[in-house]
Amino acid sequence: MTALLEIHNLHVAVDGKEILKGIDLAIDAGQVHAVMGPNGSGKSTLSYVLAGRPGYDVTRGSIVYKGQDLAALEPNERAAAGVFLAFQYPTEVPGVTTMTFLKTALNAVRAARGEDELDAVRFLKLVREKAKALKITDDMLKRPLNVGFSGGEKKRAETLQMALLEPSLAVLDETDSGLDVDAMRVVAEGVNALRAPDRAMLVITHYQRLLDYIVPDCVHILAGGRIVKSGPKELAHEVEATGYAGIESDAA
Amino acid sequence: MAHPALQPLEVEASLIQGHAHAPALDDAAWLNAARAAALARFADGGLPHRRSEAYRYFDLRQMLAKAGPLELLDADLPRDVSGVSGVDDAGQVFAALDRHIAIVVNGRLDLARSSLDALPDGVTVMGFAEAARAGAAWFTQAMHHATQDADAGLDPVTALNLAYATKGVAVHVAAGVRVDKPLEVVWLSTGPASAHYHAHSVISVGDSAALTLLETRGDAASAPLFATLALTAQVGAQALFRHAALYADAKTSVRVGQKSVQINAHARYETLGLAVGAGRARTNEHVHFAGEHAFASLNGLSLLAGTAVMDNTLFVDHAVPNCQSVETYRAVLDEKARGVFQGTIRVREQAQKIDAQMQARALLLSRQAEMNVKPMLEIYADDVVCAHGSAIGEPDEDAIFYLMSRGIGESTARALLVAGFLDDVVDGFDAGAIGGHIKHLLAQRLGAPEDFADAATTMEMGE
Repeated sequence: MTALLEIHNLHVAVDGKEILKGIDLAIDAGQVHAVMGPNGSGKSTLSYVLAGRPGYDVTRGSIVYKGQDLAALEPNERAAAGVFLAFQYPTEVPGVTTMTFLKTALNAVRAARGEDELDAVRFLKLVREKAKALKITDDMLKRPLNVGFSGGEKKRAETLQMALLEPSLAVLDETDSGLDVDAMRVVAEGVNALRAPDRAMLVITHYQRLLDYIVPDCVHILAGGRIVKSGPKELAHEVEATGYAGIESDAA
Repeated sequence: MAHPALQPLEVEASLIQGHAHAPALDDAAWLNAARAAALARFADGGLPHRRSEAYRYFDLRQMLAKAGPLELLDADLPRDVSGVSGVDDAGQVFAALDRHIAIVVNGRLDLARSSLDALPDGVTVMGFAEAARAGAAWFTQAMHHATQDADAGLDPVTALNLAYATKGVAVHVAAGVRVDKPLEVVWLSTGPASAHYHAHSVISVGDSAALTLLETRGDAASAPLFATLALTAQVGAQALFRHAALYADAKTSVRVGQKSVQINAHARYETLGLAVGAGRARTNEHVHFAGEHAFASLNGLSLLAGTAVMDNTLFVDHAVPNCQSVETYRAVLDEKARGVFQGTIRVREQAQKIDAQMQARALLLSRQAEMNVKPMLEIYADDVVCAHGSAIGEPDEDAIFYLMSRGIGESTARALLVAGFLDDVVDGFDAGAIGGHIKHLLAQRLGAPEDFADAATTMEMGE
């Protein structure tokens, strides 16, 4: 069986500078993989290149998702195909209400997937139900997207988008950053509720603590643009005990 | 620095000579005298041009240089505009709103087609000439102010407009009367392209009164070439005056709006100007704080493409202490469109405790679009909070990527972003039905999805 996502010898350059220097990674449907690494190791680059951010150029290697070349797709086509990136720093979009954004995004994705568009009543019912579980108020949905949201509100809004768009591959970029323990618990519960046999997750994090809440099947250590070590979930605790320096020298 | 004298243009000669055909106002000798004096002042300097600082980015002389002689548009000629083709449908923006309607054809109030019967007692809506003849104190007082503005001799277009002041609407809201539904003045103009016309409107909102005035103008494709539209408004103590003006100028037309608003103590004045046309237009707004603890919110939006030009020139005169003003101007410019913002806030020496915040921003959607911004603060008092800021840029690519990463196609993502840039200001002006209709128009023009938050609120209430 081929994996949902297969990354082979991936090299990525940003502004002509090589950041990822040969990544190999395969994730099967139903699995949760964690990528850990120190600052500057290329974690965010990996998440952006999967989502298709302009300026993140694949210079060598390949990303095969559901058997197709992911790099050939526009960011919106990737979303329609089921790739979702939960941003570390969700962008503020003044003047566009969260509600309008969610309706536009959901119906764009549904249309691309050959599903019928939701009318206002069905959409509202769905969004309310999913928002409630994440403690997102109606007031928040009427505010401009991410504008003036607290760190916790932004991450809950990201999780709501993920729940609505029902991705096959969710990439969570430092979802724990800027969250206190209570906020992290709410977000992690939301994420865990989305774990499913047909869905894979790639959890990118600097610290091990998020992985106490979202428990991975496999942990990869990223350093200097390469995966230097992979192992079971216990590897995350090893990082916590010895630090990245220990792991890197260990691998070298 | 001396400049060589400019050769008088044919168009200038016609603007001066045409005055002989403009009717005199009955029973308002003082106003006729002021009009004649204003004409003389205009004749003195002719059309303003870019060497004059105020018209630096709106060279009216150049714009009309090749127009040749223009004739004064006869208000009595085309009374029926129902057959006029190519009228910009932006003029229909408030069609679904519950409102009072005054229809003005070529500057003349058409009562037969207006819907003013439901106005509450204490509200007067009449034509300019009729108001001059009646000579009510509110009208005379406002026009005395207008003539003083023209007397100051600073602006040739103010003088030209006053010289031709026989048309326009006059609205009075008696003290204490709060007009619940908005009053829309619909400007229709039709006639030969080689014409000029002028209207001067007077709005008087009495003490503790409230009025929301909407103005819409959707030009026909063959609109007269040159128009000046003046609005003189007096906002009484504790009164509320809200004013939204939407202009869709025809591609060939040149319009100069002169707006002068006096705000008295504890009054509130909120305005939003929206330019979505294809022509070249300028609004020159002068706001005078005459009483303490007054507030003004001044907003301008331009959504332009082609060769359209919109110049917002603003002068806010904080003459008394303890007042607040917020100025927010935004432009979205595509193709070869050009936007101008010149804003001056003057805080006079005795005007302590002033808070004034002025901001101008533009989004350029094309390499050939242009924005000229010139904010100025003239502060003579020492205990004030004043700031200005401006930013000219392109759409935020990070935000476009963010929207696209959620499945939204690039063109929709851009449209959403641009609509949001403008909607933000609309929301600040009116979070209700008026703002909703304006946002609907902007979404249509931009091809952006409709705002759903308002609809969601309505559905909630229906549950």
